[in-house]
Amino acid sequence: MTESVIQLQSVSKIFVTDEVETHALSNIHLDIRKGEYVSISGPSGCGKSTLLAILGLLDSPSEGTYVLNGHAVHGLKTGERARIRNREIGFIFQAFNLIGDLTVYENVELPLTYRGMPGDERKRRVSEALERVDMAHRIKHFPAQLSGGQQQRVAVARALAGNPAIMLADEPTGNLDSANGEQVMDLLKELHKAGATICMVTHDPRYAGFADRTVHLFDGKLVPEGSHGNAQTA
Amino acid sequence: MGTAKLTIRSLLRAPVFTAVVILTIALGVGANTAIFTVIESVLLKPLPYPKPEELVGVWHTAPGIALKDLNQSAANHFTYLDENRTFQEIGVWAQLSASVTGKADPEQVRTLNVSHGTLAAIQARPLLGRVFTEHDDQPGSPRTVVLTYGYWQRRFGGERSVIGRRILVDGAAREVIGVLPEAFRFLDSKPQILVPFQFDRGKVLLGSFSQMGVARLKPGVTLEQANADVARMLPMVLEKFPAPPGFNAKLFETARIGPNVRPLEKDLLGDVGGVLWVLMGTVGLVLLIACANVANLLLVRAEARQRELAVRAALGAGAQRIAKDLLTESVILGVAGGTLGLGLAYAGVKALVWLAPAGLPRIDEISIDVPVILFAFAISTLCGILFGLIPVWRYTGRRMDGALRLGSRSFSQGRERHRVQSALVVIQVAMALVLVVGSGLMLRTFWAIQQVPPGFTQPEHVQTLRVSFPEAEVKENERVTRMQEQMLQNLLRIPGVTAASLSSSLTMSGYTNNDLVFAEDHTYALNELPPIRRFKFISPGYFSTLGRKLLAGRDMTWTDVYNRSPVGLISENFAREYWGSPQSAIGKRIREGPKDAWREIIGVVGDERDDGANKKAPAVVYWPLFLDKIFGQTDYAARGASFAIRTDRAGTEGLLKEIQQAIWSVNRNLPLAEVSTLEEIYDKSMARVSFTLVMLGIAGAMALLLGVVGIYGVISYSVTQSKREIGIRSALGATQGQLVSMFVRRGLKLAAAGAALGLVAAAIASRFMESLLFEVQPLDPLTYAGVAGIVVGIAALASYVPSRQVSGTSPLEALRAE
Ligand SMILES: Nc1ncnc2c1ncn2[C@@H]1O[C@H](COP(=O)(O)OP(=O)(O)O)[C@@H](O)[C@H]1O
Ligand SMILES: [Mg+2]
Repeated sequence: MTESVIQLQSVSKIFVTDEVETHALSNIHLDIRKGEYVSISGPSGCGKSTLLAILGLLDSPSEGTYVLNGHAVHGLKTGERARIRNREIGFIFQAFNLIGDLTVYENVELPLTYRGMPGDERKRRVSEALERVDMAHRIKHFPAQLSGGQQQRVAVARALAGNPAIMLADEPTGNLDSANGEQVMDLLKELHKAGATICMVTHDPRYAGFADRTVHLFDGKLVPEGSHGNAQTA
Repeated sequence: MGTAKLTIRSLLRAPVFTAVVILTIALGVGANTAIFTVIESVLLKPLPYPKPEELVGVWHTAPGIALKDLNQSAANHFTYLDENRTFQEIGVWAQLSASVTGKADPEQVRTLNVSHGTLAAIQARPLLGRVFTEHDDQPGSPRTVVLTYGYWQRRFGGERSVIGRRILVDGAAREVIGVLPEAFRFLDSKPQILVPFQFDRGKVLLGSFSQMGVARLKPGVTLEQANADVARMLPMVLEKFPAPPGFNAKLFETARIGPNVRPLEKDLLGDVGGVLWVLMGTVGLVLLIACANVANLLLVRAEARQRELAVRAALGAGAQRIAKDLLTESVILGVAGGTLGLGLAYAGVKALVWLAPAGLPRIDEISIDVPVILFAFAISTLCGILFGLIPVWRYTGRRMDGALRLGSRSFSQGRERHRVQSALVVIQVAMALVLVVGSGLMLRTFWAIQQVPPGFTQPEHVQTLRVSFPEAEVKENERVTRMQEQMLQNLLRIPGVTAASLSSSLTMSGYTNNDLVFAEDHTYALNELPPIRRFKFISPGYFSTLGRKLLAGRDMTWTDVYNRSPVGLISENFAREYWGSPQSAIGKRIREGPKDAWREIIGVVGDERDDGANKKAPAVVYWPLFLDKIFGQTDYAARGASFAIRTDRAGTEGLLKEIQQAIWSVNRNLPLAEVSTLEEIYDKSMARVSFTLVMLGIAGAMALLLGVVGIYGVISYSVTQSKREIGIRSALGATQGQLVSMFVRRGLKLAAAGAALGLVAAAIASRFMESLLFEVQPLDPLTYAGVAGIVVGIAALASYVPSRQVSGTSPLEALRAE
């Protein structure tokens, strides 16, 4: 049996705004193993992004425990969380989120510089990552000079350059046309084949099928395996 | 048109923005209007006389004795009076003082001594009675006096019956023949009474340039013609009047006296224009910085309104229409700021007048008038247009249609707006640096001056005052000296007084006597004149009272004084110039004129900054109070005496009472004048420098403040506009510290670019300050390095504070899909 990369126990998330409590997540148990490709699906507003944010240490659970790579991370301070995000997690966002003022190369290099990695090591990793997404020929370009699909490939390179324990993707194809979307999905599949652990949010049923396993969310709760057909129609 | 009304409504909806903009403009316009008020009143307004363009100062040059400005002598005056072809009226004048005695306590008053031509030239009219006529100038005519309005009010309660009364001036009765109106001004003199010169033509000798000349040109006569006329008359002077005993007229030829007739304003303004124009330039820069700040704020606002503008463009508003709206807004802001600025200027002018150095002429004429108000509105409108054009240029025309499409941001904010904003900040920092370098140079000047030993120590413990001994009161010279010694003895008995002495001219007082001084062991070529030296008459103990070192030889004694021993002391610089060292000057002999006695140098003392702490120390000769065979007179006593009294009690009322008693117990009729501590005299001589320092300091501080606001604003804005970028970076693992330092670096880059530009600009601009500096180079490296360091340091702080706002941005921002 392979080891767990992610273990969530009874995780809940409650947002309080203007006296209104939103129970975005309730009592979530989730286990992701090394090398797994998990997709999270569910209707809009069901808590997918919230769950991903908690997995990615962008947000912390209101209740419950989170063990990442064998370490409890739910109670960590901001600085420590930034460090873990930087080393253990690779993000791929729906809106690509490349930094407009930086070149393709610099964008990919960015998380490595935050790690204080020496220059030649960074250079090797950046080139490698860009080669894997087939963008090595565009290192001097600025994001505005690239198509959406190309931008997302650069974002994937940025996520994998740091060799994270897990890659988290929030609707990575949401801003892409279907041809480009498929390309990105193919890329993720390839990375998975090469050993990457991936957790992807999507509400596109076509792409959910790329994953080993699909987890369904409905109104902040996990839908038991087998009954997801109901949730999907919502 | 409703445009203005709509604009005002929209401005009121953004009260913080509107208030910050108006306040910034008000500061800039206020400072400029205040300085302009001074310039307008002091430099630009014509003199308050009819046809002021006809009025001239009658001066000379004397390159032969290295004098650029030589004033007027009686001999020259009479020659011009008789022979000129270009003057309607010509007169001489001098500011002196006299004692007025009578029923009340004796009082020392400021007098304006004039020949009748002086008042005729400025066309002075009396309020009561009459002013002087030619008859009053004649020796032997009844003695007369004219009162100024203030003195008449104070001493005579404004009684009209004063005309015809007699008052005792320097012990002699004079008939009051007139009172001048309240508005009477004569240059910057503030006399209490006016008395006529009564030169005896038969006794006038060549030389003795101790009056000032004034004249009114005939209509249509130019300065060149007047100067040519004086050049024509100069040789006649030598023919008409004899040389003083021991000199021959040839000696006067070597002085190479030439004409120097110039506008009368020059006599009033001196070199004050230099300081004022430097200040005007300074506050002008402050205004530009303020404009840059406002332009930045408007850019941010236009950015926020970009969509609104785009929608309006889409609805068919032309570029011109939108430009007009934007400009209307900025001009309304400019004028509102200008109005508030005018209010600030009013307060500023009050403060300026209060701060202004004693040397600032026409200070009572400084007021905000129509030209000043026009100036304020002109510059605020101009500023409104200037800073309004930047957003217009950015957000109108072809760029408008892009705004709608740009609505969705798929990667962080456009770089172009940042470039404009950044450029504005760079320029601001550069200008602020120029101003701070200016204040830095002034500060170094101030400091350098304070390092120079002025010729005395602990001036706060020296009480000074002046007493005159008019001949009408004390006839014989020796009696004057005896009385002076008696007074010093009395003063020394006052508890707490450790030393007391007197001098014909204390220090930095402006009472200067200068004349040729010959040395026995120096040969002068035929027709060669020795350099002019300053001389003072002093009592024994003068140097120890002031705290000045005796470098060689000895001080004089009362025995020297009463024996009229032919002795004297000189200053170190004189000793070194002629004999190489203080020691070797001892025993050498000097004299003032070929007929005077040779006098032996018995001591050499340290130099004295007699023209002010920031001026070169003149070479000074110190003679005893009482001596004979000088100026061709049998004996001579210093009848104008400044007392110096060293005591911890200097400046206290109690001390003054005791001093008064000590002096009046010797003679009840001698008024005490010019009571002040030596420190006050020193501060007064520093007034111009202090004033410039304070003004440049204020401007520099304002510039820095505005620069800080500029950097703060840009960084703060860029933090709020970069929320998404911060979120992304944070999601990728950037720590708070890394994010903060990213923005601080942004601020520092701007500051460094501004500082580099500013250093170059300062190197150019500081040349204009050269005349204001003292022992500091305009390119003083310490100042430049220090100021650059300070500016960059402050910029770092101004960037750091808003950069900490990054903590308000959650990494969750990164997840927000657009
Ligand atoms: N920061 C927040 N504050 C308040 N409510 C939030 C916040 N983030 C998400 N929510 C709420 O939580 C629920 C889940 O949102 P989200 O996780 O974004 O859903 P999904 O990604 O599945 O569309 C929604 O009801 C949303 O309104
Ligand atoms: Mg979502």
